[in-house]
Amino acid sequence: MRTLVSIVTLSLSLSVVAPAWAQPAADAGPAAPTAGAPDPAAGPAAPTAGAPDPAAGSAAIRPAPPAEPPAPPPSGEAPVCRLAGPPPPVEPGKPAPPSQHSAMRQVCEDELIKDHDWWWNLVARLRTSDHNQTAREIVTNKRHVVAAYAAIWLLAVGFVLIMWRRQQAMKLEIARLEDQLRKVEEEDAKRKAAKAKPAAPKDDGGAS
Amino acid sequence: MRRILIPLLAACAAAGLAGTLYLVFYVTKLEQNLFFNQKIFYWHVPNWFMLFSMVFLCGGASIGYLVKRDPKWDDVAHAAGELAVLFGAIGLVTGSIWGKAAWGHWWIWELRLTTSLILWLTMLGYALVRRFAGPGSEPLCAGLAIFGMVNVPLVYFAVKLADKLGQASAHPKAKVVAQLDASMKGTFWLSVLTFAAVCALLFLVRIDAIRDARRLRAVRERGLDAGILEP
Repeated sequence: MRTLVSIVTLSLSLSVVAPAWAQPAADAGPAAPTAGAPDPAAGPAAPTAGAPDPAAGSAAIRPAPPAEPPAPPPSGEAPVCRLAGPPPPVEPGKPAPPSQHSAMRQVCEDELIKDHDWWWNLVARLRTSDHNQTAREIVTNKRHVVAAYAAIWLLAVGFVLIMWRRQQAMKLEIARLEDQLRKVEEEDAKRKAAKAKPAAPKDDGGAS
Repeated sequence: MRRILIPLLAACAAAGLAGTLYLVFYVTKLEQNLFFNQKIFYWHVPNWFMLFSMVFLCGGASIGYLVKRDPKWDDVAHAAGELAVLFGAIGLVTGSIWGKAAWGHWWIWELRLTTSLILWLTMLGYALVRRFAGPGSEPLCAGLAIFGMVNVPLVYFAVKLADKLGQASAHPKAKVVAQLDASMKGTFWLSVLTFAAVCALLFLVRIDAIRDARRLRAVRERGLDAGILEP
């Protein structure tokens, strides 16, 4: 009964204390990498979650629209391409920023119009949905976390079950052996008593 | 005392496991470098803490046994050694899963991982010798346990050692627990307490089982003497 009370008290106090203990998860701030935790920077395949792919160059490449719209990719799926918007307006009194046009830009645009594969390749690399999906997979990687927690439970429960079965078998054997020993000792005692009884009148007779 | 302690520890462990699960998944902030993968940390690191404490207990009790030759010390070492194998296995498996999630590899031959594996194999060897070598193997087991205990600081300082040796370590060099956010720290230390309760509970139960095994050996000897068992 006392155990039951302590369990209830503990559970209640935990359920009250636990939510108040930690701050809400919504205002997640930067935190240090964790102890024993793999350092993503050092690992061979460290994920850079949420970080834009530098190769994609989200706003740098702005090819001129081809004269004819290029053929859709083989999958038929229309690519989503978020290109940079118009440049910000020049503030009054400040000099206009230098032109970003490079000498090779016209050449590139011409080549892009000719080479539809290159165009689609660039568009595909700019698809934000791909990057968002990768980032989402890294941010909410439930597969490995669930596997790790399940492994802990399985190993612990397996250990407890094996030990429990071994202990039960041991207790049964102890009980069986002790029972047999008790029977043997009782039989011994009876035999000794039986041996002692017939001898008693003889002794008595001899004494009288 | 034991009749109260075991149910109390069981209750603490059950409440703690449920509570830490709730805190880990619903309350603690999302870590900004490892994101959701970091959630493994809250049960993975306490497991290693328990492994280290069990290896130390096993080694200390083995020294006690070698000095005093008291079977009580041997029982303590035996129980702690088996639990070290359990916690080491959990730590290696969860670490491997975390490595796959963060590095893309189940295992890399980095200094801390390698020394951890050596420590676990040492303790596994200890448990196997205890199980199969029979009576008289206690001093040998004690030697193995002391060897395992000496290995613990090597595992702990492996990252610093790798740095000195000029090797790359995949584990962070900084004292990470000290740098954790307040909510993460609370959850982490609650996990440590919970695993300490689990460990203490299993330890007490194992001690009982080892004493039962000793009793069984004594009963068998009586059975041999009485002629109800054949040698």
